[in-house]
Parts: sequence; C-alpha cells; structure tokens
Amino acid sequence: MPPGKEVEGTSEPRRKAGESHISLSEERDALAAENRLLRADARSQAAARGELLRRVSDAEARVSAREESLRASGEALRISLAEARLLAESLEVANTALTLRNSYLEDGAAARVAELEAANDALRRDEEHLRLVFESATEYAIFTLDLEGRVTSWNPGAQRILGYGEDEIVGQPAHIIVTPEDRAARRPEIEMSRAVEHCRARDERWHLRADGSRFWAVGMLMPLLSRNGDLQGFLKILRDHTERREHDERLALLNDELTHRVKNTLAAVQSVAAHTLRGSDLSVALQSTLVERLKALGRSHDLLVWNRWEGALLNEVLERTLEAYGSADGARRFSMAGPSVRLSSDMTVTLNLALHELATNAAKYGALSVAEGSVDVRWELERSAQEQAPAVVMTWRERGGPPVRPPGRRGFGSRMLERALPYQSGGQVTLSFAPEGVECHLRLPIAPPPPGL
Amino acid sequence: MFEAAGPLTGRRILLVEDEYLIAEVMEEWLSRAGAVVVGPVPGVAQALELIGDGAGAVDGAVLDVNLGPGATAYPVADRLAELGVPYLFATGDVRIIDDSVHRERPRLDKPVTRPQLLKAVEQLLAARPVPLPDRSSRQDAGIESGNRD
Repeated sequence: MPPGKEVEGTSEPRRKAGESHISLSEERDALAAENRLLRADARSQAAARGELLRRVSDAEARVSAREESLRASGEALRISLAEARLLAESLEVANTALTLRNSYLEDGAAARVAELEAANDALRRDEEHLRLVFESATEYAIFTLDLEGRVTSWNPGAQRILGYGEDEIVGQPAHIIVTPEDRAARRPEIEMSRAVEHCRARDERWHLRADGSRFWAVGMLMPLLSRNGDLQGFLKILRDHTERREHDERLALLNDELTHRVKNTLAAVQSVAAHTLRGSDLSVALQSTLVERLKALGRSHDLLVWNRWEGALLNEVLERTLEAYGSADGARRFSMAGPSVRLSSDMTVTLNLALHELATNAAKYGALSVAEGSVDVRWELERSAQEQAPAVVMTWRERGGPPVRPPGRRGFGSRMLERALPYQSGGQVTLSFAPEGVECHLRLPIAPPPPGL
Repeated sequence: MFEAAGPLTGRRILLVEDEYLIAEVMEEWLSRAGAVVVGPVPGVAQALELIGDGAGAVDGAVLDVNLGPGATAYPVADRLAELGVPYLFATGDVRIIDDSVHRERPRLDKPVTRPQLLKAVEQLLAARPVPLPDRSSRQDAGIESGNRD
C-alpha cells in the first residue's frame, strides 16, 4: 500500500470521531444538503449530459449533413467527371477528325500545287517548243499582224525568206511584202476577212522580198483570238514555193511534150503503115484491120492523155471504143450500165484494144452488122474476202444479130481477150459463140493505186 | 518447124515481160529459134516461182525492167545473179536507175527486132558460165551496155 493512502486512512476515523459529536439532525441536514447538492449536481450533470448528447447529435447531424453534401457533391463530381470524360472523348474524336481532315486538305493542297506546277512546267515547255519552232522553222516565214495589218513578230525564217530583219519590219504594215497588183486588188484584206470567216485562208501568190524581187509563196493566214473570242490579230505562215512551181511547170511542159510525142508517133506509125500497105499485095480488108487497130491504140492513149496518164474510167473506155459503131441514123446500138470504176493505165490500153476487137467483130459478123442488132454491156464491182483488190465483173452480150457460128481459128481479137487481158490483169475472160449472140464474160481485178500516187 | 538445130535449140529461156503483145511476139521468135521459153510471165512473183531453187530451171533470161506501176524486174535479176544464170534487160526505159551491177548488164532497147533478140540471147548463153556479179565482164559486142543516164 502506498504511504499516502496510509495517511488518509488514519484521518478518517478521527473525523468520524469528531462527527460523533454532531447531532443527527445536523447530519441529516448535511446529508440532505449533500443530497441536494448531489441532486443538483446530478441535474446539472444530466443537463450537461443532455447538452453533450445534443451537441453530439448536432455534430452527428452536421457530420451527416456534411457527409450527405459530400456524397451529393461527390456524385455531382462523378457525374461531371463522366461528362468531362465524355466531352474529352468527343473532343478527341473531333480533334482526330479535324486532324484527318486537315491532313486531307494539306494533301489536296499539295497535290493541287504539284498539279499546277506540272501544268506550269508543261506550259513553259510548250512555250519553249513553240519558241523553238518559231525560231528554227527557217523554211517557213512565221509572223503575226495586229488588226491594222502591222507586223508584231517576225521569225528567222521570215527574215531568211523575205529579207527583212525583225528590227526593220516589226511595226511596219505587212503590205510591203504584197505585190502592187495584189494590193490594188485588196487581196490582203480579202484574205483577212476569209480567215476570220473560215478560221484560215490559204493563198498562193507572188510576194515581194526586201530587195524587190518576187517569189512564189504558198501561205496560210489564221486569226488570233483572245480567250473570249475577240479578234486580236493574225498569224501568217508561208513557204517559198518558187522552185516547186518551176518544177511543176517543167513537169507540165514535159507532160505536154510527152503527150504530143506519143500522139505524133502513133499518127506517124499509122501513116507509115498506110503508105507501106498501099503498095503491098495485102487485101484491103487486112490493111484496114491493121489501120483500125493502130487507131484503137491511138484512142487508148487519148484516154490516158485526157486523164493525165492516170488511167481512165471504164465507162469512158467503153464510150470511146463504141462511139464509132452507132447506127447510120445516130441511134445508139449499144447500152451500158455499171458503177464508176477507175482502171489503171495498163488496163485502159489493153481493155480498149480488147473491146475494139469485140466491137469490130460485132460490126463485121455480129449484132452490129445488122440494123436490128444491139450490144448490151453491164458491169459491177465485186469484192471477195480472199482478194485484197476488188474486181470488175463485166458482161458483153450481143443480141439481134445473125446466127453466130464459132470461128474456125482464134485470131488476134480472141488472143487479146482470152490471153492478153488475163495475162496483164490476172483476171479471167471467157468468150462464147452462142447462136443467139456473142457473149464475153470478164472478171478483172482492179489494181490498187501504186504507192506514191 | 525449125530450119536447123541452132545455138538456142533446147535452151531454157525465162521471159519476163508485162506487156502481153510484146511477150507473145518474143516468145514466138525464141520458140522458132528452138529455145524452150519459160513463161512468159508478167511479174516478179511468177518469175521467182518458175526459177524455183534454180537447179537447171533456166539457162538464161530476158527481163523487161519496168513491170507496171512501182514494180521492176530487179528482184528477179538478183536471184538469177545469185544462181549464176545470165540475163539481159529488154527495156523501153531510157534510164536504168538502179545500182551499177544492174546498169552494166547487157541491155536491149525496145522496140527490139527478131534478129537483135536472138543474137543477144545467143551471145548471152555463149558466155556461160558467168562470174557473178563481176562488173568488169559481160560486155558483149552488139549489145548496148548501160551508162546512158
């Protein structure tokens, strides 16, 4: 036991000893007082406890309210957070879309820029090409005119052909290269209006060089239009064709000379033959046969001459061969029908000779030997798959003549038809001597025009 | 039909000529002289077909130069030269515009007469075998050689 307690224990009984002296009432009163005190104390303690409980309850309520508010705000916060997250997500989506769109736009812009640059390059190249053409086309004079007909550009070819330097002529009226007679005839103005009307105007005429000499030019005048179609000026391109013209003239001269020579040679042959035969003992019939054949040959060449040595039309050959065999009253003894067919020169000559033989035979023995007889010639073009060139299929049919008897021997006429024509054309010819009239069936390939024509 | 066996008897002569009347008369002259005429044909393709692989098909040839628009007998001439077969040109062309090998071949100018043709062909065959294509040979008297242009 602690010593303190020891002391207290000893004092208690002493006091009690003292109290034993106090009266009971006093003690009762003291006890009552003490009781009151205790009660009061208890009351106050109860009050305090009530107060405490109230405070605790208040505190709890506050805490609970606080908790509630916290919960509520937590919820709100959670909702806001969710919303915020959603918003963030949608913002991200929008952002991605925008980024994508942006990159598309950037790509598009880059592609467009590249395109434009390429187009620009192409234009520059075109311009460079055109400039090269303009600069290096020395065989061609290329120049431009304004609406008043003044020269606005002048290429080296123009300088070479016309003799004026660019510095000399730009700004000058282009009339200085036009001959006085063409100027008087207002040909430049006429060509300008033709060019505007037809988009181009061709001309072939003499032009003047700077030194006053003339050259034959073939040219083309074209209008220069703005984007919206307004006339801004003219482009002229011309070539010096003086040599070509001289060449063409020489060729024409040679052609005329050749024609003249061929005709004269044939005429001379006919004359020589006629003179030679006159003194011979050949029969008159034979003599006339020879002369007629030579004449037929002459007609073949006439046909070629008329067609400038480029073959002839089939109907022309027929007309020419048969025109001598009309009846006395001028009525036509023959009919012909067929499409237009152009024959080569070789074919023209050979066919003409062969037809001459048929016609002569008809006139001597066949349908043309009597007034009632007639000859019908028909042809058409036939194109078979195997052959490249078409063929003309022709029938010569005599009707109304005396009954036909096959000839005893095949003469020159038969050979021309049955051998010469197939030999030279690669075609087929059949000659039949039916009693009612001679018939000749021809199938002749039409040679394609030779290369270069 | 033949007077006597001449130098052309049995010799095979190719005749290329696009004009039938000329071909016909030359064929007759050569046949009457005893030659065997191969052809006549009017074009290059038919001529080359007749020559074939060349084993004795022809002993000599008479060629027209101009065979219609754009065509000449030169491909035939080249083939004959390859085979060592002698040939001559019978032509109305004043110019022979091709290479000198062809220019220096024997040539007859149209119109050709019977004696001219027969003499030229006889000389052609007599000169066999032909060194091919040697430009210094084949210049026979009586046949006008080229170089007129």
